[in-house]
Amino acid sequence: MKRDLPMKRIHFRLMTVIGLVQFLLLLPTASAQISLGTAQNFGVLAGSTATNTGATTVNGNVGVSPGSAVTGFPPGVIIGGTIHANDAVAMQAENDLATAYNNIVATPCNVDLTGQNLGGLTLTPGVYCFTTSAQLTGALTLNALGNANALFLFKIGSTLTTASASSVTVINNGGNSCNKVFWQVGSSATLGTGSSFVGDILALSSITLTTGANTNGRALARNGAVTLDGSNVNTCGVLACPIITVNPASLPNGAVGTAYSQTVSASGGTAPFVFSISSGALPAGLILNGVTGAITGTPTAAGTSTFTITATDATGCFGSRLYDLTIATTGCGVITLSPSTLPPGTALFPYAQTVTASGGTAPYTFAITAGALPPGLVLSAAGQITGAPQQPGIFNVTIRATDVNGCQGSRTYSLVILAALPPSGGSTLSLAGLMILTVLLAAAGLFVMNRMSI
Amino acid sequence: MLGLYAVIALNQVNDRVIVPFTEVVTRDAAGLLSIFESGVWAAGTVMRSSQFALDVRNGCNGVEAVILLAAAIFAFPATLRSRLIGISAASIAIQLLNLVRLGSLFWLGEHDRRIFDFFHVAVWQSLIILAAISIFLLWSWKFAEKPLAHAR
Repeated sequence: MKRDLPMKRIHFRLMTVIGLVQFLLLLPTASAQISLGTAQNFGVLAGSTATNTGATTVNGNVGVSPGSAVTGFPPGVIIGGTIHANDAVAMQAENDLATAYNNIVATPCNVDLTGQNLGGLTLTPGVYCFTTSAQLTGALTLNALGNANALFLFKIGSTLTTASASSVTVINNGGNSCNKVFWQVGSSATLGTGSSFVGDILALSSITLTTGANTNGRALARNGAVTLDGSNVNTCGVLACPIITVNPASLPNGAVGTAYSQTVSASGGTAPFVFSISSGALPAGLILNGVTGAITGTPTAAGTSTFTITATDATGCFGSRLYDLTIATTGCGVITLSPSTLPPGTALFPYAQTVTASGGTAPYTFAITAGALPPGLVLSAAGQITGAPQQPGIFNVTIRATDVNGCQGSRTYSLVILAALPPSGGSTLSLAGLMILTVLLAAAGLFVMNRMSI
Repeated sequence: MLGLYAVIALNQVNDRVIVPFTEVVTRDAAGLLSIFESGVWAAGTVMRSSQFALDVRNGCNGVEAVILLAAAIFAFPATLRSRLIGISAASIAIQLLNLVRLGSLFWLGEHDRRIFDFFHVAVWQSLIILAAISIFLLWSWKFAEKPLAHAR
C-alpha cells in the first residue's frame, strides 16, 4: 500500500496537469469572438422574404436580400433600425452573414449532443454540436460561470425546433445582460409558441417564430424566409462588433524583378490589428507582415493574383477586403484600370460605364478573367460595360486590360445592382381594392338612380 | 368590364399598348416630379434618381381603375354622349391622380421606405377609390340625370 501511494500521487498530479491543459485549450474557444460584420445591425435578415403578423417588435434593421418582400411593418414596429429591401446594405449584410455562418461551421466541437434534447440541460461555455437536428423541450440553462464574455456556440446539422413555452436562460453571466450565444442551423429553425429564446440564430434556410415566441438575439436567415407573429426580437444578445475596413481599396500593380512595397491598414476596430490572407495567395515572391500589414518582396512571376486580406482587431472582430494584384513581365509598365470602383446600377435599368487603362501603350483590349458581370450586362473589348442588368445582387468581376505590347493589368470590381421598387405591396388598386371599388360604384349607382326616381 | 380586363391581359395588347402606355405614364410622372426635384429621370417603365428607383408595373398605371370606372359609367342609364364625356373625364382625372401618386411615392421612397410601403399599400389605394367614387357620383348627378328625368 505504501509503495502504491507515490504512484497514485503521480497519477493524480498527471491527471491534474492534463485537466489544466484541457481547460486552457478550451478556454480560448469559449471566450473567442464571433463577428457578424454588418449583419450585426439587423434584428431580422432574410434571404427571400420577411413576413410579420401581429404586434411584433424588432430591435435593429429588418432586411431581405436577394429577395425583396418585407411585409407586416406596420403593424410590426422597428426600433433603432429601418427596412432594407434588397438594397446594398442588405446585400452586404447577407454576405457578412455567410462569412459568420461559415466561421462557426469551421469551429471545432467541444461536445457532441446529437440525439439529446436540450430541455433540462445546464451547459457551460463551449461549442456544442448536433450532427442532425436539435430539439428543445422545456428549459435550457446556459451557465456563463461568471464570465461576462462567455461564448456559447451551437452547431446544428439540420433543424432547430423548440416546443411551446420552451426557454433558454443564461445564468452567472458576470453582469452582462447581453449574452454571446450563437445557433448555427443547417436548415431551418422554428421557435414554438410562447418560447423564450436567447442567442443569434444563423440559419441556412428559414426561421419561424410562431405566435408569441420571443428571442433575445437576432433572426438571420441566409436563403429562406423569416416569419414573425407577435414576437419580440431583441438584438442585445451578442457582442456588437464594429465594422472594420481594410484600406486601401486597391493595390498598385508590380513587375517581375522590381521590388514591391505596399502597406494595408485597418480602421473601425480596436487596435492592434492582425493581418492575414484569408483566401487566395499573394504573388510569388511577396509576403504579408501580419503585424504591420506591409506587403513586401520582389515578384518572381508574372500574372494576376486574387486574394483577401483580413484584419482582426484586439477583440476578435474582423473585416476583410478582396484584392487583385497584377505582376507584369519585365519591361512592362504597371497598367492600372480606372475607375477604382463601378457605380451601382439598378435592375432592369440601362447601365453604361467605361473602364479605361493607363500605364501601358494604347490601344488596350479588355476582358473578364474572373467572376462575371450581372446577367444582362456585357463588356466590350474597348472597355464599355453596357446593357440592362436583369437581377439585383452583388457581382464580383475581374477585368484585365492588355496593351499593344501584351502587357497586362487588372482590377477586381464589386458591382452592386439595386432592385427597382416596388417588389411588394399593391398596385394602383389591388384585387381587394378593385372589389371594394366595384361594390361602392354599384351602390353609388343604385343610390343615384333611387334618388332620381323619387 | 370583364371583356376589357381580358383584352388587356392578352400578350399582344400588353406588349403593344399597355407597356408603351405605362412608359408614357412613367415618363410623365418623372417629368412632374422633376419640377420639384432635379436628377429624376425615366427609362422604360423605371423612374430613378441617384438614390432610388421605382418600377412602374402593370397594375400601377391606373388602367384597371379606369376600366372599372368606365364600366360603371357605361352601365348607368344615360345618353351615349354623356357616357363618352364621363368616361373621358374620368380617365383623365384618374390618370392625373395616378401621376401625382407615382411622383409622391417616388419622393417618399427616396426619403423613408417605411412610409413608402404604407402609402403604397394603404393610403393611395384609399385615395384612388375615394376619387373614383367621387367622380362617378359627380358625373351621375350632373350629367346623367337628364335622360332619366326625360323618361319619367
